[in-house]
Amino acid sequence: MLRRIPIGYRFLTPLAVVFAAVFAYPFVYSLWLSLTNYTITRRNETRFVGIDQYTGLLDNDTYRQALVNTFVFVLLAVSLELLLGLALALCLQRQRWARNVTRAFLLAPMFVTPIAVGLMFRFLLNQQIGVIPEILGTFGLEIDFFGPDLALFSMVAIDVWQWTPFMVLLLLAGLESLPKQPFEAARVDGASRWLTFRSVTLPLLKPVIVVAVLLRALDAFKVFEYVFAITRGGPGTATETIQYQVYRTGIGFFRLGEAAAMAFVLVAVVLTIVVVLFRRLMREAT
Amino acid sequence: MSRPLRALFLVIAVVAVAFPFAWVVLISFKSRVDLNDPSSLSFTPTSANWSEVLHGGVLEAALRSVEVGLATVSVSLVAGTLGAYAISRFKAGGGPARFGILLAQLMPPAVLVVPLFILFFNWNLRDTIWAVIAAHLTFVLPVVTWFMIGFFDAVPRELEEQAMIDGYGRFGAFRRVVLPQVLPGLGAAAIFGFVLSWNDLFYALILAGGNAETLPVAISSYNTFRGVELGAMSAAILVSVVPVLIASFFVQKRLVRGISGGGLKY
Amino acid sequence: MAEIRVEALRKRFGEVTAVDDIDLVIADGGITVLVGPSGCGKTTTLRMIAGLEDVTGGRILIGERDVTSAEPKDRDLAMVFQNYALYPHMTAFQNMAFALKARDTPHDEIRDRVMHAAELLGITDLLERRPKALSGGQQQRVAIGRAIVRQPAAFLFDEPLSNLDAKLRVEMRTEILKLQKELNATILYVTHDQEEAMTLADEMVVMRAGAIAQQGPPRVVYAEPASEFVGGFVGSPPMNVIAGEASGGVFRAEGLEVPVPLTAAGPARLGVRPEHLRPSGPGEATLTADVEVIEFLGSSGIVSLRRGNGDSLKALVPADALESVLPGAACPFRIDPGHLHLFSADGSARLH
Repeated sequence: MLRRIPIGYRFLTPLAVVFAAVFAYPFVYSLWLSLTNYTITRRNETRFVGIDQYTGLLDNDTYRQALVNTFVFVLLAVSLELLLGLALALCLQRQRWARNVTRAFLLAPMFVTPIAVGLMFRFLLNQQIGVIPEILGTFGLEIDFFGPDLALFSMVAIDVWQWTPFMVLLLLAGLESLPKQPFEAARVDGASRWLTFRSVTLPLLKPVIVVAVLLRALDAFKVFEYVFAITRGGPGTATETIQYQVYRTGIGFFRLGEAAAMAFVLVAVVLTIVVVLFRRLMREAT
Repeated sequence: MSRPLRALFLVIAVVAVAFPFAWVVLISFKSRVDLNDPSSLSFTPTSANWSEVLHGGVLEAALRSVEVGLATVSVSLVAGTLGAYAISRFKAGGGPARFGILLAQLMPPAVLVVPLFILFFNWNLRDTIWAVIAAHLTFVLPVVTWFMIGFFDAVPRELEEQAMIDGYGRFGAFRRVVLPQVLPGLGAAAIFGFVLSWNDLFYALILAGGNAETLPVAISSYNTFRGVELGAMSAAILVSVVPVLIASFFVQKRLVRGISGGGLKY
Repeated sequence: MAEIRVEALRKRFGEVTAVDDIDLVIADGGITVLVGPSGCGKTTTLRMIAGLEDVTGGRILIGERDVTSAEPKDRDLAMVFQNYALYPHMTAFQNMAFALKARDTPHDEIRDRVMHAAELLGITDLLERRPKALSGGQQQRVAIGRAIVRQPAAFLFDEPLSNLDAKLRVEMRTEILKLQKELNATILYVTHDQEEAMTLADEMVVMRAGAIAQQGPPRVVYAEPASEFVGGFVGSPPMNVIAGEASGGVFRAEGLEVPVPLTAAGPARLGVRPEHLRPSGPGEATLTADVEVIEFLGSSGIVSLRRGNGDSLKALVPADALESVLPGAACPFRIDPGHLHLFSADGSARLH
């Protein structure tokens, strides 16, 4: 009997079973929950409410704010990481002295527990006891990094600190696996450095850039630890993000149906972006 | 960019990375009194913070994190490696299988945490490491599988065909010839998977925030605005950071190939 | 060693028929070479015989045993792959010993057999090295050694020389021939290189589009190609083909007339190998053509010709006869009447 199952599927079975149990089943369950008014303290009153949870989110100001915040956060953080990462990768590529040590060192932040990063910066940037405001104070600068105006941008800065290394890692690998001939041809053609970068390096590197940005953006949408460690969404709703709001709605207020709906809106948005980007990528490839 | 400019840029980057770490190390040796003056460098080092942390449940939490990480990675390695081989070599499951793995990687934890919370609540498994292990499988398994697909893609088909002609069946050829080729990649995937599990706060906090807290949850519990806890918190942060940093040095080279599905080398 | 028989063998990949009802006997103790352009089904045929590819239809017999659906490991065949497929994590010795270990051969016997094969191939001092530390030629020897050690019913070679440089390729060719004689081995050899095929083959099988175009000893295939395709594929530079009309024992085309041993009449195509097209005196010339370029090879030269009607021809001219051939001039050439090939108008059949 076993013999008649194609060999490939015999190898696939353990993965399929575990995957179905820990991923597929909860995913479908979550989808169903988002269509109910499930509240853990009032489970007996659970009933199917269709898309009510979703339409409810439309009137939810905090949720809209969280969506906006999340998008601003992702857009700013990923763009900055790309620019910085590209610059760093180009420097590292041509570096000769202490090459491996520098690389290993600069990549370190991406491995650090995000909650630890959040807490580290919370106290580094804290107005009363943080060292950075104190140093800035000696120059006469009074900056409240976690005040209503700056809090979200401080979150972006922390994300940039932790995740620019990820960009560096991928872009540097991309740079180093580019073929040499186009660059030699550009030199023979007498192209300046800037022209070479713009019309040889960047186009050749584009596929890697797209993948790196995509991966980074998808990860940035999940931002939670910094908010949890530092601002808890505040001041006001200045740093509310989706992932944090799901946590608060679901775990704080036990409104799990609503929390599931919140999460699925994010998934829909993310999937749309992925599909659109992928389509464009495919069209350019052909 | 000219050479000196590049060097300057790199130096700034190195300082920007090093400064927070250095500061946390410094704080972890400061006494409560010295903490009131954040920028002072002259103080009498104390080990009080470290002994407080090491006796205060952080070690138990770290041990729990190790247990969770090892269990998650073990399951992921077995299921992920076999599955990745099937997907890479036999195109098992076709496009949907590959897409499913990708989809799982980009799924926000917010989607899965709600049903997992309810399921474990109903089964009385909330606040146990089993809940955390299951939750961590949702992101470690896809990542490990994705890594391994890339590594298997790079193994020439002829190697296992040769092994089959040499006298082994499918599984024998896989075990004796294919698997040794991806062993370094397997190691990288295992370490990276472990780091992901070790670093997770979201699932661990929600599913096991009480009796079965992992290291990140334990660290986050130092997060109070009573500044007096600052030294101990710094020590706790270092407990979580140091092992990961050491592990990271071993995987960096192979990480790129894993992340890019074998498309890039570093 | 054993004979391999293939009966009505067929392979389809979806809509595409890669191998179309092939019958083939690979003789015991000889080298049979499958040769043809890429996509002709030669490698698929080899892989089906090895058991690496499922069979859509037909039978494969090794000796008297039907192995059509047997696992590769149960067919008692050894194979040498194009990229050698040496196990990177094992030394040369371990590579060669691997198949014997798989069959639980005693330790001492493994040693003896590996050492014997290594001596035969002159690689005894490389045995402790990993494939990475070996040159292409050395890897090739290890791959062949690994096959020899097995003492299998037959050897399968899948384009084993195409990754080597030209000089090494010629060397290894001789080596394989010597080994075959020494072991009296049965070998099925696949290549796209017609020269390699002719030098190695006892029996040559030319394939095209999943079918056998011609089969026979290299001499016969070269001297009497069964179709225009075979005539063009075997031999270098390829055979010249001139379209024309045959009637009453004469082949006529624009600007030329050649007597042919054929009575039937109708459109036909004349095949002339470059070495059978020679410069001549004006009196005995068959045709006149403009000399475009001469590629000097040492003992001879390849002369590219263009006829008045635009056809291009190639002639292989011995060095001492090259003096009368001047680039840019119109020169008289003679077709050797003893070496003509006449094909049907569509090129599919030989007419005499």
